[in-house]
Amino acid sequence: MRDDTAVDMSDGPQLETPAHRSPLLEISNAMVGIHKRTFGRGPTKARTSVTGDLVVCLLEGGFTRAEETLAHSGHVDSVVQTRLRLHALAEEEMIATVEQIVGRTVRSVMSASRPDQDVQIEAFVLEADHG
Amino acid sequence: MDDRPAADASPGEHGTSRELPLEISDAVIRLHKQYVGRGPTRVRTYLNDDLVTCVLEGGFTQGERNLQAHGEHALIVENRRLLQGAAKDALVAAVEAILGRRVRAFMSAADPRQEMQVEAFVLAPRDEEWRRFRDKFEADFGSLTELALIVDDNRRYVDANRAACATLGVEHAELVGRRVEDFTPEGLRDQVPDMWSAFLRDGEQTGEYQLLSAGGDLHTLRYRAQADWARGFHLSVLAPAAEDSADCASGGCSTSPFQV
Repeated sequence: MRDDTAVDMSDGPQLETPAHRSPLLEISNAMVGIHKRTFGRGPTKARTSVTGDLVVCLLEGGFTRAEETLAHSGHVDSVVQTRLRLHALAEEEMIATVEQIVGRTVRSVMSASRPDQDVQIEAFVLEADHG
Repeated sequence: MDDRPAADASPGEHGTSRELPLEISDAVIRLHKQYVGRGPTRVRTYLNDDLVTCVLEGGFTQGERNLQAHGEHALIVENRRLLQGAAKDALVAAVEAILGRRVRAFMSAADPRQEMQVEAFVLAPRDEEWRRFRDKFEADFGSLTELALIVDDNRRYVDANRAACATLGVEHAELVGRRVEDFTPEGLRDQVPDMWSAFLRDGEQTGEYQLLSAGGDLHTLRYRAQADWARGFHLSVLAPAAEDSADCASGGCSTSPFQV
């Protein structure tokens, strides 16, 4: 599978009909939902790409007002640290979600954010597919 | 695991040259050695539109392994994050030089348990990049009777002159962002990826091509295409196939600086 899908989430996660079911869209929707529950606000735009053993979600927007205030007053690092700690709480759910959607085992999940640029990523490295 | 540094590269989406991901992987290995003291044993670089992702494996120091064994996972993650902060400018400069595009955001994360790290570079939108070249394109091609089209690495139209918009039956704003396949007859669409790969590999291409206008009209055109007319922007100039010899015989050959 190699593709990418960008979805605008400004009106909330997109609902899918069976005819439009796409694993990439499913991952994007799932990440938006998990971010919303974990951080209090979901990204406004999400794009998922799957290439070889890498699943990467590029998420835009979704930082809370408090995080934006901190970031714009020179405390980017504090936001990044807090996000990393909260991310650790959601990691298992993220892994289980991606594994269930792509049908492969996740070897590693890594997350990074740039609140001053309004972007973040969730990267999932999959176990090699020998099928 | 093989201990030799491997600069694997996934081919970029839709036929992007394999050399660019390899160059980025090499640069990441070199800079990690410089800033961390040890480079990763394997790097894979993926290009997807405006996102460059490097997956690094191995290269964690013995000190980090000892910390990991004592449950200091968070400390390693934090140290790696700080190290990447120190190397950020050099990494961004390397990627910008290789791709010829501006990096909008850089992010990095590490997973010491798996000895993996990811570096992500979010690139500035192509239309923003194109502004640097618009004036030259307009001066050279804006008023030609031939069709002139600019396409990015993902076969998306970035710019077109008036003749191209008229033939394709769309306004300029409607064309930008659409893909080559959108104006290719259905029977030929499957051939586009292979033609595109060959074009990027060879650097130029000439021949005949059929364009399908928004109104459904089919146009058979001669074309000449040049890859990387400006870095990452590919130029095609097209003229009706039938006008070929008659026009030249009467002295009406193309005045394009990029003759069809």
